[in-house]
Amino acid sequence: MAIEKLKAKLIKQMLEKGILDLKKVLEVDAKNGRISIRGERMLLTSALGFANLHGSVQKIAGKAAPAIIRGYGSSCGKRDFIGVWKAWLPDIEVETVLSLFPVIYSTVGWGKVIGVSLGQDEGRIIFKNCFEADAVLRTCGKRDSPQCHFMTGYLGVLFSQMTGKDWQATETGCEAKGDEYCEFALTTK
Amino acid sequence: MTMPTKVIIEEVLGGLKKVGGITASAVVTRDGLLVASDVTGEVDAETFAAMTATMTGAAETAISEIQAGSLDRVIVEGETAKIISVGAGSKALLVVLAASDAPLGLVLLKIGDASRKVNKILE
Repeated sequence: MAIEKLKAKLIKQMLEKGILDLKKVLEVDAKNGRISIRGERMLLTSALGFANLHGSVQKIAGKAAPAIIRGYGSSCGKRDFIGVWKAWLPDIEVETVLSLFPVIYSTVGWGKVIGVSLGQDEGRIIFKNCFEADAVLRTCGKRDSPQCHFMTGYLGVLFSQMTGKDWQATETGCEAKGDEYCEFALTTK
Repeated sequence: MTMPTKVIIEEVLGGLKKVGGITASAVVTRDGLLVASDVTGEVDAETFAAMTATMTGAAETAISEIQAGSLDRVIVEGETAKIISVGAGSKALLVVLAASDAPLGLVLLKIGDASRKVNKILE
């Protein structure tokens, strides 16, 4: 467990100092039309695509659109837990996750994590400049309800997988509706 | 959702089970989150909630697309069971699972009563 903590500390320092330069780890194989990071195929596309996803799903499913987008977020959260978190730090503890969370998600461009906390039955995660809210805001303008459905699905599953408890994430504040931050409340089901 | 509200809704759902042929029921938000359920067996209530909300949402947009007014209900008939989804106010849905041979008239009548009760509770 001490090794895991040391490893986590090193990853954190590396990311904070910008040593992990995404341009350097990105393998571009233009000949075969592939780009990848550590063998995993990546796709570079505009974050605004998320707003298109929202719009298209809403056109078909109406008020139920958040259920589908949340489901997509949940499956990505589960995949990232296994493919990233568990792959890097197999015996990771919640405390370590909380300390690494801000720097990891800021590095991959999901937004600036202002705060993350997790207690026995509730938790809170605050993002500034969240990509999903930003995409919706830039494409559709200010909305009257929270819009980060992918994020709620993703965060709920990610923390459930990490803690072994069943968490549900609810967005209580969203930049797409004019709030200063996107704020996610975690509650046990 | 406060705990007493959830308990009161569960009582309404419990009452539905007394109607012959109704085997399970749930109240879900229109965007697919589970509010309360009376589901047993192998049905995952949360997945069921998201699926039925999606089904109802898609039916609503289809009805709207053909300009056929507002949606009354969605009935899906399977070989051994049927799913009935009705609105319970502007924010929630009442979803019921019934046996394929359940008396539809009576079931719809009871579902109507229950959805009005749920709407009042959630108001």
